Amino acid sequence: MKQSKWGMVVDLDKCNGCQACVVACQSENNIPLQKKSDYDENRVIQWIRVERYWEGSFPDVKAKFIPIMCQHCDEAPCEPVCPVYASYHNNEGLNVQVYNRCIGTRFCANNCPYQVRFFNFWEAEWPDSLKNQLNPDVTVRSRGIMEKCTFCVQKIRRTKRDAKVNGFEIEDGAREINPACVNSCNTEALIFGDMNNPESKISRIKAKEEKKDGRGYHLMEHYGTSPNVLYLKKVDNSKKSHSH
Amino acid sequence: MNITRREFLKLIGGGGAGAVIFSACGVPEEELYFQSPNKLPEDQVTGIDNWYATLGSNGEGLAIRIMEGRAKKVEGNTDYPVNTGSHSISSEAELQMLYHPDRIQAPLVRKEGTNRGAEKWEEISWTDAYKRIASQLDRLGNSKASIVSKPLRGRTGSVLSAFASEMGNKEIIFTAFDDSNVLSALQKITGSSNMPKFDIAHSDLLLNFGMDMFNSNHSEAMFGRLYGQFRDAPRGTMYQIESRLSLTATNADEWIYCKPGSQGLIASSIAYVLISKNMIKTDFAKKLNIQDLKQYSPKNVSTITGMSEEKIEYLAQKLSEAKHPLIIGGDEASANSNGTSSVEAIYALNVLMGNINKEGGIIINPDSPLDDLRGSRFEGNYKKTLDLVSNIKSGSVNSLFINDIDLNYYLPTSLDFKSALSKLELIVSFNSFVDDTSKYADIILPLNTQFESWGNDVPSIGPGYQVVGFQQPVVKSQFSHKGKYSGTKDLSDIIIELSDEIGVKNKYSGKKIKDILMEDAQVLWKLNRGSITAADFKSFWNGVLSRGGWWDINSKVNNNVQSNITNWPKVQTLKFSNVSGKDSFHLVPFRTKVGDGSFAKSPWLQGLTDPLTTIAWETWVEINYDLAKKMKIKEGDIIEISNSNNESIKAAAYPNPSVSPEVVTVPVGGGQESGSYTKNVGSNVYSILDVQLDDNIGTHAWAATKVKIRNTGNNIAIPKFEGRFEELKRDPHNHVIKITTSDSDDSDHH
Repeated sequence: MKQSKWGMVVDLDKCNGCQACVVACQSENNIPLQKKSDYDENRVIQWIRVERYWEGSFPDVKAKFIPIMCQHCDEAPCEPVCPVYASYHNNEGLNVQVYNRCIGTRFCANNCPYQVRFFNFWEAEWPDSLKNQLNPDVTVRSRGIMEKCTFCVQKIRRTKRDAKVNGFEIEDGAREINPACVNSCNTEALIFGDMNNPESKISRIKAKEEKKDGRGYHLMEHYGTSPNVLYLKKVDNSKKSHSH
Repeated sequence: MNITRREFLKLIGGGGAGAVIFSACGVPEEELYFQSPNKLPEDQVTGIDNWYATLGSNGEGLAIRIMEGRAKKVEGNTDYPVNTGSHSISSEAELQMLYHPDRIQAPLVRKEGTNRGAEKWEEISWTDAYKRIASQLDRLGNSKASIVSKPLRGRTGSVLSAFASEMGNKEIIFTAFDDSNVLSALQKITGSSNMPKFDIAHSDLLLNFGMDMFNSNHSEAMFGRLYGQFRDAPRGTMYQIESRLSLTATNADEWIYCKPGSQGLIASSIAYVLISKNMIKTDFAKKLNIQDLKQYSPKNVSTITGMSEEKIEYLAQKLSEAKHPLIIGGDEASANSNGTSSVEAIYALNVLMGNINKEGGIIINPDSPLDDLRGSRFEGNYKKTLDLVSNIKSGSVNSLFINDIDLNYYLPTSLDFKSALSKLELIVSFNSFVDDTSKYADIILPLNTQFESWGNDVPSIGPGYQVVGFQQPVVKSQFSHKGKYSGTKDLSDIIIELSDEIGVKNKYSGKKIKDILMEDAQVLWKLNRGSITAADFKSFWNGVLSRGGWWDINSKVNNNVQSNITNWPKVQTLKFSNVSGKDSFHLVPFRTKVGDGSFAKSPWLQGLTDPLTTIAWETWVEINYDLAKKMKIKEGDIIEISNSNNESIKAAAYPNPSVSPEVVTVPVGGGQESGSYTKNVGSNVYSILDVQLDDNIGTHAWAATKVKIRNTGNNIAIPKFEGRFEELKRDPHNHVIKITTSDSDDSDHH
């Protein structure tokens, strides 16, 4: 069987900024609660965040949204700077963080142009009753180490193992393997899949949208990071419409 | 002898290694190296998980991941026709409601000798609680009791209604953002008492008058799905007419500002253009007398609505060109004194375009297969709540049963609900938490949360065919270890048990909610149609629970629907409070990630940023950026916002480019007095809303308040996401968000 290479497509024309992806990620990945003090101290952890950009001013004004998560770059700038190889590339194209290797130099965060790596300044805390919700498949990261989006690698691992044990083929777009953000996306702006499978939805979108007249682009592609997240341009017909 | 730590470790290590070598003679040395059984923590498989179908409190079908008896993750139920696999943030937050540290664990009674609101409680048994209530009611009289509740659908709603009517009352349903007038308008337009489906997915032009679909009373996930499909090729175009740039408005192709409450006039003006210019030739268009509409000509309404004549004509032109135009409205458009007449005019445009029960239009939802179970009904009625308050004050109501609705938080200060509460002789609260109202209760009967409860539901907005959702407990009640005389219970079971104790009998007496639901399922099973058919009832019941409900895609309303309207609705004039001057503004409150405030208990949602302002954990007031500069207001300045009664709140200023200079907007959800994650967070904008009613059906005109603002001179650093991250470095040729038009590859507008 051919090795998978995981990737994501983000259709900016469909993203409505609802942030269901952000909450789903927090729930799936045991991300610490974001307290007011975390905002005050610049210590907010969101593996996926929805950035908002204003365009224009009243009355011709709009806010535009872009979800930003780890781009799982093929040429990931965070990897070579890690002195302990905590940040490495696995054989499925994922940029992975080994928590028990990390010594918290924060070089990786410093070198990531997308600002999607987060340092645990504090030990994550939950009231005892809320700990019941924590996902046992995901390590709670301790103080002093980095964390980041993993494309919900625990779901990939579990589904692959289940498929092997129970002898089934993993379907393209299967919810079992999709990252939590993708399953939660109300508008289906996020699409996840195996880019090595030419029949997968993501491969078909890439084939269409990466052409010259397509909507595909990579975030800050001029850095040469070769991300595995493909963004589809937002469509804005007001640029050509009648306006008063 | 002194041994250093290093030497000690060497000794221990040596001894240990020696022992192993001795006992495992011949084992190669490399075997002695410790190897982690797992390459990564994520390689661990921790146990078997199971997914169970149930419903969210907003009527979404959900699948809950359960491991070792604990709920771990919420996802949308892909089968369920309302939300087809997606789910809203509030559904995810139900997990935190389940495991919330503030939950009430047993029936509580106010400690003897303590005042109401002192929050000194004593745990009692269920039997004791029922007995105490029954003996009090014996003394006070059932007929002087009143019951007020949050909107309840499904069988739980029926149980509460039956209880209320046996007590000689009708329950009062309260909701902070009541859209009953939208349903009332649609009833007139479609002739059906069910909320219709808005077929956004198949529409090519969506004209939305103020409905904030993505912060909705209904399933936001459902609207999200429809919106996503609307943006698929061939891509639909959306216009939003609203006085505030809501999350929905910013996702429209064009947001068109209008003065608050003027949407009905704009809709009527569009109708005038369509007919006077012969752009439309439907039956309804032929029936209308153009002279009746002349008062709404673009020239006549332009100034009062704030929309140019050209823009009104442009929208009429676009509507006439569209193949499947759809016109919807609600929220701010329905929340003024002329709300009902405005939304009638808005939805009448659909009749004019001839799109009732047509693809891409307004699709009629059929009646439920279960006779007395309905998805849509006139939920809230502010007028009745006002009557309740005066009845309490006059003494004609002496005891109050409150089901999970925080009236003390939602009602304006001017109503002085707190002093009304003090006049009551008995206050019984059904709640999972102590909130700003239940803290004044004499007895609190603790409820199971959504994922511990039984229920069923007819969706508030159905998919165009019959659906009955089933809700099952996916985990054991969190406090079941306290035994059957303590812990929490389903509302229906409490009501039935309490009725028995009081001696009030109805058709549900002596039953459990699960049995009642099984009776409903029996009815569906006997229909022998739809998504589940089975030879025996047990299989049917299992099927209904595992799929999260029953539905029949063939049960559509196929006949030609005749609208009840014959004339164009007359849009009534607006009434606002008497606040004027340079520093006066229209106050537009709005729902956020915490809904109407009821989800503010969730630390996930409190800690989540507002999409437009990126603010968390605070109440802010949005004001026009340029105007703020002129008024010397900068971000974080504490602004005092006062209404015509001089009642005020304080909020942090957030000047931004999206706000009209005539308007200030403030989110709801802040200013709650109780709760670990709500106390001391922001301020309560509900408290300064005018008690202004819709002229027709008495819903609250919550967008009709005018206020004055004053800079207090204090300033705080607003907790927000914006500016916390360094803005991604932008290259002139490589923008962060790239934009194109649907028929070109022009990628660098931004």
